[in-house]
Amino acid sequence: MLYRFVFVLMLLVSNTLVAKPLYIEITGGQNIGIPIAVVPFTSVLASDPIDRAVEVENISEIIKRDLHNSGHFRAINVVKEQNNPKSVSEVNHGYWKNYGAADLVIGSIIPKGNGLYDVSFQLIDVYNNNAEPLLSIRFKDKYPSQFRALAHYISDLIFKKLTGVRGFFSTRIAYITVDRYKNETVHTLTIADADGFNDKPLVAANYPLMSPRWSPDGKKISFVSFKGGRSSINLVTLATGKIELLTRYPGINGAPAWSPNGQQLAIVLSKDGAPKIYLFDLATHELRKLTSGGAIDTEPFWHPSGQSILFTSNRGGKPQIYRVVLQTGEVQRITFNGNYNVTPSVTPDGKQLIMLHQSEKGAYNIAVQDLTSGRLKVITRANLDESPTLAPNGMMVLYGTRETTQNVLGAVTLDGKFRMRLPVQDSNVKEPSWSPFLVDD
Amino acid sequence: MSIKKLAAVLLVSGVTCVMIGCGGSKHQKTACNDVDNCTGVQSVAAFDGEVLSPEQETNLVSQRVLHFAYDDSSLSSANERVLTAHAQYMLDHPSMALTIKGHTDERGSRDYNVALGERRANSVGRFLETKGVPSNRLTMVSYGKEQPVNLESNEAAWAENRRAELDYNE
Repeated sequence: MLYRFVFVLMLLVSNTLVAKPLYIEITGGQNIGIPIAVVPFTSVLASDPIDRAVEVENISEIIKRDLHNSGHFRAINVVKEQNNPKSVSEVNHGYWKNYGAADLVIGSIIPKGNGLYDVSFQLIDVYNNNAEPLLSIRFKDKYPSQFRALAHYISDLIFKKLTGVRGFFSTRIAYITVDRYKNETVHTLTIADADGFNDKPLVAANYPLMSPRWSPDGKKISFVSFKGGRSSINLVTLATGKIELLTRYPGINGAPAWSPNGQQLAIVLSKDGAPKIYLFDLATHELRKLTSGGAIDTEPFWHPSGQSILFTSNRGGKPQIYRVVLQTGEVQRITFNGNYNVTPSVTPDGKQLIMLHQSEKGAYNIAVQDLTSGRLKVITRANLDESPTLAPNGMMVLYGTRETTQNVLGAVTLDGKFRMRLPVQDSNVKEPSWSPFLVDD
Repeated sequence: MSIKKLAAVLLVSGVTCVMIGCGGSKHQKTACNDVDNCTGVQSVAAFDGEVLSPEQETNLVSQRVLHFAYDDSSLSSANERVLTAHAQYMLDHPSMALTIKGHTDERGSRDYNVALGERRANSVGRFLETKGVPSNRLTMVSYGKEQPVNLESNEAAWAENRRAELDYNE
């Protein structure tokens, strides 16, 4: 008999699985952001055994990379030198002006004993000689293990101060990795910091996993599993690793999308025929069918207002993006450029639609449509881009792309001017999902 | 008696002559146990049909993968020929269940591809049903583009990956 065993390989929260960190590599476009110099932080740790750990978690280096890789800053290289300014009073504004910097970051790491450190930094406006620092903050009693998170937090503060918008450096991403071995393929739902570091496998299986999506509180991730040769929608709690089965109807159980209040999922079920959008209440598990007809409806995305859901449908012949108003059920077509517009998401201000768009040349690229003017702009350049996910501040898109033989992640600013690649050494990486803000503003 | 003809009979006669009534080896279909219920056999003999040798039929049933054109879930006549043999095999083996897995190539949205893969699986399933296979013995599942058999990124690989797979289980 052709009975096929399908079993759970591993379902656990653990660091024992081999994690392969992502490394950011800038792939194109010009960085026309604010020029900023991050001076290597001073530390008096030379004889301290913890110094090595401090070197690993080089705070100023992380801040520099964060700001530069946002595409909104241009980090100017600063070599570690004896005469670098150690305090605000030592800053020679003219020197840094000539150096090309508009803003300057200095800081220090001071040991307090018992493995604790005080970390402080100042953000200085190079073009204002006499003013107080724009920011001057001291973080007391930090362990070196907290330095990386602290560096991202400092990046967030600097980003907010200089752009007026919240930074995404303390957020995280989820994605699926696929490792093909001789006798089996392992699919892993993994989470990592937004810069690709600290990756942790959450769920691993020898059947496909799909569609990870962060809950609005950042504590859970919904995903699709093909355990037992059928699709199902599941929920994993990050703190415990506990997995909860939500739906396992005959046919498609797919594309879960969280409501802004975290109480409902918009999902896709084909239990009654063609794939349709349903609302699934997380407290009662009640279903409400939202769309109807014989066409394919899939990829729901909750509009930030919570009042409507965008989705992909081929009801007009070719797949296009539509919007259904929750209260009235009224459906309206949103995209009209080209024959293939799918995977909708909307910026937090509700003004721009992000999608996967097939260009006239046949390439599948990420595009942005201004929802007021209807103007479309293609922002990526490979042939097989997919799965765009927006940073919670709406300023950057992470997406899956195909590079020769590997699936990798790319990131691009919304204006398409700055692109990066986040490759994993061996694994195929796909279906990124950007977390909401996880740290208080 | 070709299996295609017999299936047509089953369909035309409202499936009154189900397999339980039509016992016997699959290659002696005319030996219907219940002659009254099988009268339709003669009347549809005029249908175009293909007479398959046992070897041919076995060969067709051993084909477990069907391929599709780009953005298409319709069955080619070659696919229909293979599926007709599978339908007969299912009717001959009533304890057998079949899982039909729909797959797509790697282009475009993952979730939209899941929907397209389901259309392929469903089009196979519906064909088998029209040949008399009870729907409760068929399970359709779509993997979209998540399980490619050819990992390359070119037309040939895409053609290979646009497929439905037949998995028998008991």
